[in-house]
Amino acid sequence: MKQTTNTNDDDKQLQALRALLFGDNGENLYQSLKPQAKQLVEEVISEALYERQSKDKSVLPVIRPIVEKSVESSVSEQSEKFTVILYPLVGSLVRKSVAAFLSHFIEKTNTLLENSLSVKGLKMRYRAWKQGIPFSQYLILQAYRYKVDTVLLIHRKTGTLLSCVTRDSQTDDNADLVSSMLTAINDFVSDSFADHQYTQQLDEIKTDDLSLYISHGPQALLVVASRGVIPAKDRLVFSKTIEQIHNSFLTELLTYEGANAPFVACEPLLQTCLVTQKNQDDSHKKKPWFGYASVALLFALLFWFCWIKIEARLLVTQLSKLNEQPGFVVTELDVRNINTVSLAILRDPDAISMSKWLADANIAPERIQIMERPYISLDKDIIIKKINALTLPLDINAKLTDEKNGHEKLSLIGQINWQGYQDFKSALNQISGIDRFDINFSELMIKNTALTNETQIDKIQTNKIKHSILKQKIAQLNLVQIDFKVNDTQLSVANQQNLLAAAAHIEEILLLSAELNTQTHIVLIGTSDTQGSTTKNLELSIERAKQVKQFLVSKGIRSDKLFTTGIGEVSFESENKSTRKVMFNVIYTPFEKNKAVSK
Amino acid sequence: MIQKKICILGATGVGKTSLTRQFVDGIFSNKYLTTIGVKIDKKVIATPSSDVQLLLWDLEGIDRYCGFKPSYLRGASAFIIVMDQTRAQSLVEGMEIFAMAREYTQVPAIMVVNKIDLDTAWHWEDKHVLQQAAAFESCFYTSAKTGDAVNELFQHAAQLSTQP
Repeated sequence: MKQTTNTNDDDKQLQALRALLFGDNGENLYQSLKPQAKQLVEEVISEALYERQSKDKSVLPVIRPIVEKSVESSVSEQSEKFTVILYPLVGSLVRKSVAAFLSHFIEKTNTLLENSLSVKGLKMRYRAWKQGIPFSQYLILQAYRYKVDTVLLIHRKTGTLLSCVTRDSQTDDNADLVSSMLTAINDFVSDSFADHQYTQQLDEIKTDDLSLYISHGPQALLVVASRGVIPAKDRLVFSKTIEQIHNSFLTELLTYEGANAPFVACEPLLQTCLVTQKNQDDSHKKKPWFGYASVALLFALLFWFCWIKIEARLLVTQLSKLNEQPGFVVTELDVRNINTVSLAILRDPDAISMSKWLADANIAPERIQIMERPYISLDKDIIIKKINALTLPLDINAKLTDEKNGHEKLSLIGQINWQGYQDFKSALNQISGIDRFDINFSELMIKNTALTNETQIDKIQTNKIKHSILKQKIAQLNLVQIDFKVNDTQLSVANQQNLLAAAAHIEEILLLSAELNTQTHIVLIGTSDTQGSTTKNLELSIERAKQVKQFLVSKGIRSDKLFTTGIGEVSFESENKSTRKVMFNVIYTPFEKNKAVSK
Repeated sequence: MIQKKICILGATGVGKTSLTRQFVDGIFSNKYLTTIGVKIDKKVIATPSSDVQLLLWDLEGIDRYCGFKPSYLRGASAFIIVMDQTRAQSLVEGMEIFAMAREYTQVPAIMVVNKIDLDTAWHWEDKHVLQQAAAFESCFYTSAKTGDAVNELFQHAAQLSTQP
């Protein structure tokens, strides 16, 4: 009891001492510290705030509302001042942001245009379509060598998903099913392929475009889903991360009962696994020289092939001009075996030779397979060539003088003996197409051939025969009568045909006469009927005879051998209408008399 | 929300996948498709303590040709043995599977007698079935076709899995 009383006294004395030293309620102490209070707080405030925040994170929630209120108040009260301060800063930021946006937009547009309109772009579109992904996504994939999109942290024992981070911060609804399925597959592999010493585990799963990399820890698996293949050295970060997670969250992993809340804190660690590697610039890639060489070779071959084909076509065009060459007919012309031309022709033997034509046209014959067959050409030039071949040795000049109604007149000028003339004429008639020419023999002088003594007897015999033929020809000529219409002197077509025959007879008569050395003339006697006046009828008869002479002269009969006369009206009691004629009469010196004179 | 792994086991063709599909999607199909390996589904259900996301591991039917793979049971919070009341053999096989699973894990197990929409075709008496069921935490008579007791089954499984 006494001891208790002493203790109460001590307390009272202590309180009295305090009151004496610090004053009531420490008033003296407060007053004495007050001048230094600012300095004391100033010295410790930073450390104190830091330590308290570190200890229980209570500073930030307390300060934040004060700071927010303070800023809000300052901005509302001094908005003008803030505007002035922030204007250059915000302006600069906006300009920078707009410039960055425009630059990105232009770059993206360029890339899009380049990739859309080029072969490469079309290829990329095809591949995107094949993989079943949008083109834009494919472009992004192409820009990266690899790109991690998703990281999963899976509880090893239960296969449940502990945490998941994605590049675009979107939640993956199927991540938990994927986690369980991966665990199941891993269990299956482990059960199916395990041997006595080692447990088999899945490390990688690959699809066309996606690669899954699994890092195994004792309590959890880290699964990284990547577009593109990640090299082994770049995958070390995954091993380090799973190790770090085990170090930091081992307790949570061991006591896991299905609650994921504790593992939210490991998301920053998982974020470090969202790695990417951009593709290097194409310029650093090795140039595909072999490919370039192959393409160049291919183009060279293609060019060579086209060149050969064009050259062959040009050759065909050149050879087709053979059709314009007299004496040639092209029956087949085609390109064979790339650069060889097959040529089938018909050639007149008197035409220019094929080799000469090729040489003149400057064409190499090596590339041409020629099949030549002979034929007889009716080309004018070839006929003339054949005529010249006959006339040149005989020293006869063949002259193309006139052209009427598609017929050309060929005058033969020179001298020739009788036998040569016969042979020449026979050879001339054998030329195909000679009938296209009207041949004038009138300027061809037939020479008398001096007979030798040995042939005198033959000559007499021959003269007799010729004389006999002459008589026959005169008789044939006398039979020719040219009829005219009433009061008409023009030659009808039928009359012209008759006169052609008559001209042939006259020509032969004159030739035979020359051979027999006789003087022969032909009298053309015109007549008329009795219609009209006698005077007029006489004129008609004379004019008819002249018309006949003119026609015969035009056919090569010498004019001085023809004599015209008209006898006017010819009247018979029984016949009066068919006396409009021209008749022929031959006046010649008989053979016997001539022979007597020569004796 | 917490996640719990539930494994569904049983002989071939007893209706494991149909039960899961009825529970998850509310669909039943008469077409029989055998499960290869394991099929995993999920569904969130509410329990008195919290929401639980059940990860349902529907294992392929176990028979003489397809052995029991205990590794699939690893980490499961409960497992369900399904039997077919139209096949007596499925009860025997179910009990064999249960015995094998028990060697591997001691988590709660539920016995399910399925296909109660069909006539009973096994010769087991109810008391014999109940004797077998005594080894389990609980027993459900279900129909995947009509949906009878399916939700109750999984609700119960969720509760069992969350028990401390």
